[in-house]
Amino acid sequence: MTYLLVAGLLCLSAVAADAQSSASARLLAAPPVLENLSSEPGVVEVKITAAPARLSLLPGVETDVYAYNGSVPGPTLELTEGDRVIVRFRNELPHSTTIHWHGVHLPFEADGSAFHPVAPGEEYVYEFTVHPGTAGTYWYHPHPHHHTAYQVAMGLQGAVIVRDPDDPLAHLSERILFLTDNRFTAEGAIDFAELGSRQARVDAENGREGDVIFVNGQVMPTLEITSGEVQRWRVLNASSARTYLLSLPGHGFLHVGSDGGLFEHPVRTDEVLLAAAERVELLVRGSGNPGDEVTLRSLPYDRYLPQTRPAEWTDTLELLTVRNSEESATDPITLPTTLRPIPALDPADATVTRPMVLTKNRINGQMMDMSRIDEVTELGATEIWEVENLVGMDHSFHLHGVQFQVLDRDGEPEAQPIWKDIVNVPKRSTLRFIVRFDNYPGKWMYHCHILDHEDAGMMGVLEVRPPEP
Amino acid sequence: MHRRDAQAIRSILSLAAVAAFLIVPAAVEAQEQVRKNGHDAHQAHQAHVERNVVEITAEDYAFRAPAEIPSGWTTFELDNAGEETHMLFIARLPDGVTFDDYMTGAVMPFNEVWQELRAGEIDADEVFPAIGERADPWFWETGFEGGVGFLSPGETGTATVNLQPGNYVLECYMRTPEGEVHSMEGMIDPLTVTAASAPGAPPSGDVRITLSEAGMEFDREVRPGTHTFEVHFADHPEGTFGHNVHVLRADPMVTVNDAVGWMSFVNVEGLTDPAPGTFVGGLHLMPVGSTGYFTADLTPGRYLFVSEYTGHMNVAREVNVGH
Repeated sequence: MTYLLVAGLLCLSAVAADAQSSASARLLAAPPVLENLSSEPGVVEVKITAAPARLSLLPGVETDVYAYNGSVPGPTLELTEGDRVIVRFRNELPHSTTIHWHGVHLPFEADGSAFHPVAPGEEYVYEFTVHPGTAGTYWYHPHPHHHTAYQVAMGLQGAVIVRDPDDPLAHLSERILFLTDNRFTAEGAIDFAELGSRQARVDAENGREGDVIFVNGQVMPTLEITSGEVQRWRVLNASSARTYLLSLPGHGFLHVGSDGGLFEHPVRTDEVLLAAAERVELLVRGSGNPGDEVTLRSLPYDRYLPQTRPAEWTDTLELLTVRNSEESATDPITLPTTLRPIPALDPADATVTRPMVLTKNRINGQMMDMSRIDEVTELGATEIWEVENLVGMDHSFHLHGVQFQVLDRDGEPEAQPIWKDIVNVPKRSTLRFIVRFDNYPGKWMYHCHILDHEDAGMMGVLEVRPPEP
Repeated sequence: MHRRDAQAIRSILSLAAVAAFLIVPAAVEAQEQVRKNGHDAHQAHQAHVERNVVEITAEDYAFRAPAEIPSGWTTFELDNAGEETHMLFIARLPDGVTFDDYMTGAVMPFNEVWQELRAGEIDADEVFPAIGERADPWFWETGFEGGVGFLSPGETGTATVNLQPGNYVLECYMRTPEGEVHSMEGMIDPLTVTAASAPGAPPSGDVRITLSEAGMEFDREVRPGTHTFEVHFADHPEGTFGHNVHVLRADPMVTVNDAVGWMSFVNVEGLTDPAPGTFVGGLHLMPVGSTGYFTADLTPGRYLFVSEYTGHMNVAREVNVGH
């Protein structure tokens, strides 16, 4: 196997920062991890309860939230390929809810879509087996029809990490960066726009964005890295609508993974676009002297319609501080040039090209109707989906239960096949992806993952049917 | 698009008090065969005219349209694939004005005022003074360059205009059943017309319509079939945005006044479905002195040709297309 020398690839220099302020900064903490209640090898059994709670999201202020197991974000579900997973969920919220396992390939009954609501006081057991080859970074969140944005904003979301027993990057130190945003009243309550207000119209158009950015539930925490150390960052955008354009000044990223796990070939880049619900895996190398700091930023990105574009959209957002903590490591880090083989799905195998036309709160001119089946395919079918965004703002398109490969964007072929379950479709653009519907029949939702759009009806249902006998 | 003063608006609002008028083009028996022959010759000629056709699809609520086209004679072919009535309004932006400027300096003020009217916060006669105060001053320099008139779902219509290089906007300002303006819902796009010249030529119209303060004049009887209407904009009455023409197939219970009232910006129930009939196209506002073209396939029946902004001034016609 050929190896790629990473030392020197990613780092340039770090920026010295105010030592006094950094000394008082909170270190980045990973979300808690769900306890495995099973002692049986290959079985992960966990309990999750969704319930109201009162937590301190902002320093010195308590806020009424909805929480999974009392935590915002919720605890991380750690899995390994091949695991049998049993999630015993209890809903102690005053509303119906679900847990949707975003991006995970699993049976329809375990998808946690709006088709399987869990009433207040009720329990539901999600059972599935983690497929080989699906190691990656996923997440979970509610999916009740018309109420997802509210419940997510109230605090219901958590990470899922699926590991490969033969992970080629297992030797690297790993961090999870769970990005969310929220808005608060002066009293510290989660702030939702008043019905009929100008802000409500803006939220409906843009999706609700917050003016406080959290990483793992912390505001501007500090992540420590040893000079010369290469860390693996799993970055999840669990925000309801916000898109991040990630940049680490003076550094580059080695982009090694997407929604559905590792790339075949790493890609060096200075910026990474992360639309709502997308995930990336990045390698970052510490550089500079102990105490040097650099800020992970989100650069301005215009996904908006002119009439509701926020005045502050040109602001650069600061997400976290990266601080060199120790003396430089001396050993160079090496990586395989091929992280794993990803066979490209063949367009020649596609039985249909399925158009998906995105307009405001509509897909193919329709708003969501739970009693309607919008599209039908056969189990095992390979299809090309052509997603055309006709309007002047970006939409993020998510298909439940499967991973797909983007073929091209406005006719430009993708550089390599990568696994995705959600893709940003920029304003007035078209992309095509290829997907195969293996293993699980059922009614699978597809929708814009700007949650206010999803709630408003920008969603449809694909029924995957077993082959005719 | 929406320029007019309060006096004009009041005139529209008083339409209910205006006696309906029905003007049927005179039919001269002896000329019919001549016209028929002329129509056949027109269709044969059209087949050989090189046309620069830009296909646009109207969805609920967005256009599928190119971002850039060459300049010159251009036929916009609008297919209404949506479930609501749509239109294609073409505006040329003044130099230095961007699409975003148009959204914030024109579309948004119009929408704000519309929302206030809809909410009952202002009266109809306050609408255009309010827009006058809120729209950016450059708005009044915006060029109205034609476009396809109202089209009912499933209909296709064309408009042929001669576009100069510049920055344009394609817009539908119909309203959803919930009262939202289509352009605010996303049915508006920028269009760049480049200096490159398209090979298109003006079509040959078989029916000439002249729009003026004197009314809407046809140069001949309209017979069943597909027509290319040559529309001449002779003047623009003071206090109005000017003339245009929309073609509505309607039953006898629908009057011109009904159609004009439905098209009125200040009618809170206007510009939204259900329409008073089936719209089959037309031609939007154009500068004084200019000529544009639109096609419409007219099956036998009763049609109202109505100018949206000057229909209340009798710039309208009832046309019975015979068998």
